[in-house]
Amino acid sequence: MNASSGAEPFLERLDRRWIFLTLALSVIAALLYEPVFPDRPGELVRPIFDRLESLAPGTPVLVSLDYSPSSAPELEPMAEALTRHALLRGLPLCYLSLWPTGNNMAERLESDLIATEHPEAVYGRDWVTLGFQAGGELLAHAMIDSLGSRFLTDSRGTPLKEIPALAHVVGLGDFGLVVSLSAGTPGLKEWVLYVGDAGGIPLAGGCTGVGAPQFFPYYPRQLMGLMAALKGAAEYEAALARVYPGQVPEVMRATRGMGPQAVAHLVIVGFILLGNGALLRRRSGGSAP
Amino acid sequence: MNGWSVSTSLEVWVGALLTLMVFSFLWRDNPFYKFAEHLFVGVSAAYWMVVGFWTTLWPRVVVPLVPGAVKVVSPEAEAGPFDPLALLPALLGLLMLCRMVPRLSGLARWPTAFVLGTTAGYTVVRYVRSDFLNQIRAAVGEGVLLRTPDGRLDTAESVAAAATLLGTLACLHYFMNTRREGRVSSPFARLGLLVLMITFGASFGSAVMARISLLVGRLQELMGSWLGLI
Repeated sequence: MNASSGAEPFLERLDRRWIFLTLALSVIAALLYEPVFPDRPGELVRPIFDRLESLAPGTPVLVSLDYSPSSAPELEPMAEALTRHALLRGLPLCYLSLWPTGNNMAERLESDLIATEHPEAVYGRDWVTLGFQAGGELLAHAMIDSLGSRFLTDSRGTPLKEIPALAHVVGLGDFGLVVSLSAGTPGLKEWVLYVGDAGGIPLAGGCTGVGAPQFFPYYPRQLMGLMAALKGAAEYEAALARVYPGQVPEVMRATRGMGPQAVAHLVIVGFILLGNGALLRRRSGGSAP
Repeated sequence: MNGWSVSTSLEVWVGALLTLMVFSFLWRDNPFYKFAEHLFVGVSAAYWMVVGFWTTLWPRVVVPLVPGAVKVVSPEAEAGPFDPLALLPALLGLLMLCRMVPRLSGLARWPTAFVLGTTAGYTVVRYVRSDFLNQIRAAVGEGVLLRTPDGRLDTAESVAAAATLLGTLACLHYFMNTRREGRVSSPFARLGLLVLMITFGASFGSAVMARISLLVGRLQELMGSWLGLI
């Protein structure tokens, strides 16, 4: 704790750990009582949803899981929403990753979502996992012309030509949409530079809140849509819930997370107002509380 | 809210206890936090080394140079032909290890130079196209008087396009016309500074949002998977 002087105003003596504690308790309370705030798909998220809606059943969709467990709370809900949507629409999903941890992320989707919500889905027909390959942006660029030159088999060792979901896929242009869910490098930026712009491939993305500002300028010319942070995932879930009522869970993971998120934001805004109010009062000659 | 239902899974308990150890740093630096930190670094390094070996070194170097080695992991697989091209990355990799021998450490510059040179050559064109030319096109490409598909003036989009263009030019002006001592020289440059401050503020807000999402994620794990409260 900081050394405190009785003459100092209370707010200037306040240990920052009280702020941490207040924030943690407010998030815990919000998790226990589960406030749900209504959401709707925004301008950046709607194009992704509309694109998947417009694809003919059987058109494969590529999802690159470029993240690790540390950023999963933000990006996994996006992967789940895309997976739900694709399976409901009959669009075969193809997971791969530029990150070594991507294999585990795909396994979590298979065990936690596909196996429980869509037990009728068949591996190889409705989804396939190619897994991780080293190479980053060079790998992504090489796949524009030939997926098979980089991935001889899927993650289970099945040759690509024996996988029905990829029967008509030669390069990335044969996917109805390529989506990178990215927490860093290599990730969405590399997909924009080396695939979207280089090959004219329809590309969308999902990113963490930290990374979002660097991707906004790419919309709409270089990225057809962007899910930014948990809010982006919640917007996608809102679109799903509206179009497929009864076929998706009533409250999905990102929507559930946005309640505590909003409460935490209110607490932070409250502290900012309190701090600035105290500063202004001191500057105007009064003493801060 | 559900009742208590504490997990009996060892995996969940390890995850929960390590999470609490990391959170304990908010109180003060302590041995529990140090333990979790060191464990994380060690496990990450080991994980990357193992993954790197089996996904890069083994299929790209070992198997092409020793085709029979493929049977070590897949006894039924057919051995491919010997690929002498794999000697090149193997040699560069070995040269990199020369850094550990003081007398030969200069040789490690060759693979470093190769990686830097090829990466720069491969990347420059893409960055110029995507982050420079395409961004200029995005800012000024269609002008600021945008129209709807039926030919009417799209007021909202036009105002947004004009604001983006004005903000971009003001920021550039700020960087080109700021005196050495840091004084802002003109109202237009001041506007650029204002736009930059708003941008930094938005970035910071976005970063805070991301951190809160991670906090929510960890607390969901603790209160859900571990304690069964939610």
